[in-house]
Amino acid sequence: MRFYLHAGLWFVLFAVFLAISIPPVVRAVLENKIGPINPNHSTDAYLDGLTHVRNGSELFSRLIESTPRQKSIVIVVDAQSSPSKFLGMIVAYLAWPRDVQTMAVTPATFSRELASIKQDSVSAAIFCTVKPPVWMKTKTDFGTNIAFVPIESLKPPP
Amino acid sequence: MTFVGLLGAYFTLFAAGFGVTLLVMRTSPRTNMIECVCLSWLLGSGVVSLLIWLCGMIVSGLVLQCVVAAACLFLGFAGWRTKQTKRIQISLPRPKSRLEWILATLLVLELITIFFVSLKHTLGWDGLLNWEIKARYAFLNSGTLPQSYYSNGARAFSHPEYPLAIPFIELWLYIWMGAPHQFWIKTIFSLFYIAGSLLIVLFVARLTGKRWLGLWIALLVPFVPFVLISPGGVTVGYVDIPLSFFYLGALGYLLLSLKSTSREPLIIFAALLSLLPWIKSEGVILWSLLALMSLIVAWYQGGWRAKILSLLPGLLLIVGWRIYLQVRHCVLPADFAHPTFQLLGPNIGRLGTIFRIALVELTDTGLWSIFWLLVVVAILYLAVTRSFSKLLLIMGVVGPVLLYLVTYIFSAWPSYTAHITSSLPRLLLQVMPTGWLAIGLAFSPAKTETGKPSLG
Repeated sequence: MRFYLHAGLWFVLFAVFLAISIPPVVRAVLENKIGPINPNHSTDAYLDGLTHVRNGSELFSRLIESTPRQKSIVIVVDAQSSPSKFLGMIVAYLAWPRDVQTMAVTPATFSRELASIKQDSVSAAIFCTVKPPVWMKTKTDFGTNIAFVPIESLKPPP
Repeated sequence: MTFVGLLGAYFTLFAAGFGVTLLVMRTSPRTNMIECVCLSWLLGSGVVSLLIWLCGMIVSGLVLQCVVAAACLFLGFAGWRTKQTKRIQISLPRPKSRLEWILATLLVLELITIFFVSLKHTLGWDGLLNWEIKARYAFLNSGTLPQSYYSNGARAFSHPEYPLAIPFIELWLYIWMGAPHQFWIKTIFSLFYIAGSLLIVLFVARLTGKRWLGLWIALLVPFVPFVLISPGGVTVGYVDIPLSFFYLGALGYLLLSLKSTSREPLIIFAALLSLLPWIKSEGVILWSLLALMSLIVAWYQGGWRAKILSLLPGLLLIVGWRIYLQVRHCVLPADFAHPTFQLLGPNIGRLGTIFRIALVELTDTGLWSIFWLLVVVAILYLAVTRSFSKLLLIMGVVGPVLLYLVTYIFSAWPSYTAHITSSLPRLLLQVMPTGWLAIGLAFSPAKTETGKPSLG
């Protein structure tokens, strides 16, 4: 009798466990497809999703290579936006071996933070889901959410 | 060429692991091939990552690759020589009944499926920005992580203080492939899963005497939805699954050492235990718990000297890593405040909220189905038997969960509840395979103490 109670209890528990688990697990197995077999498989996917640029990792790395090695890059992110901060991390990831400084701004601190950038040690600023001020004339848009601003354009007009 | 390099990396890694495994198992006349392969992967990954870290302090680039590869081949050769001189037989256990054949076939199909499913996804946030980032930067810096990485505050999001086991296995693949490759490194996580899944079969079979039950329990593991659908699972390159199997392995061999007169399980326990703090920072908590359990076993069974000796390598690794981080002027995280009695007083009131959130997490059927209910039932079964090994297993399941929850008393996040909800599910995942072991043993109460090793 004890054996049947024992077996019955576990049979019911396993059955309920599987009944709840199978639908999401099967969905997870069937979703997506393998590939592309690409060295930048993950960063390309994230950049595609966030900036709509295909093959973004390689293109972005080329942009970074155009900056001097000994100077750092300022990454400007929206302190209140998770996608902006995540994009900033992807940018920091790809900017290696350049030294980076992350600047998390809010509308209230935006101008003050930009003014504090030390022009002599920085080569560029990269705005992630943050619009650069209109007075920054020379900028390169990298897809929809990244703007690359070289040091010459970072100096505010007198 | 990339694929040939990948095979070279895996061959050397397995050679090192195979050698270490055979050296550890040299007292045994027969060895189970499946166990040997699983341990080769787990120990090989530990050995290779440690070798890269240690040798990388002296040499770099091609010399580093040659030195580590030579050490791997030497270990493989030493293991093979030991096998030949001690005449160790390596045998592949075959299913003995129709039920075992069916379950074994299903398990193989399931493991193949998981291997391919894990290739479908991108590396998750932590997989990319905590772990792969270190491998990539080390590769671009000739095989070692540069000082500037440890001290750059803007890259502190990538947790430079995290240990290097997984990043340096990824680095080993990169070195052999000749370039960073975010796609192929995902294969290591499914290999950890496969090794861990087969260890579950092995432990349940050996501790219950029922191989079919081991196969059944291993089959159920990926039906915990978290394993396949959420960040932290096997598909996104996080370290929680590998850590969970190192923990399961160490605990499993500690339990097997209770039933065995051979020193072999204890030596394997010591090897896997030592690697726990090298996999992830939380490994220190798991190491501490297992160290305590090992001392309890020594008190119960004797053999103090062997048990204390088994703790030394891990202790050395923990201290060595702390010193290394200090020397590197590593930017340390601010996730937890330094635990003091002054802080404990005002924060102790958090406990109620912590346990309430934990209950919500544990009962989230979207992530866990009713897995934790199965674990609770299993614990009740095991507690009723009052057998020493089963009480030890209960401690192995409940202990980490309680310790992890208590750490949130010292959370330094502005909202400690947000800290709990963002990290607790992954911490629970680290205990999940051990929970399955408890379920397996509870399902088979009658033969637990008398079962003989049935695999091998």
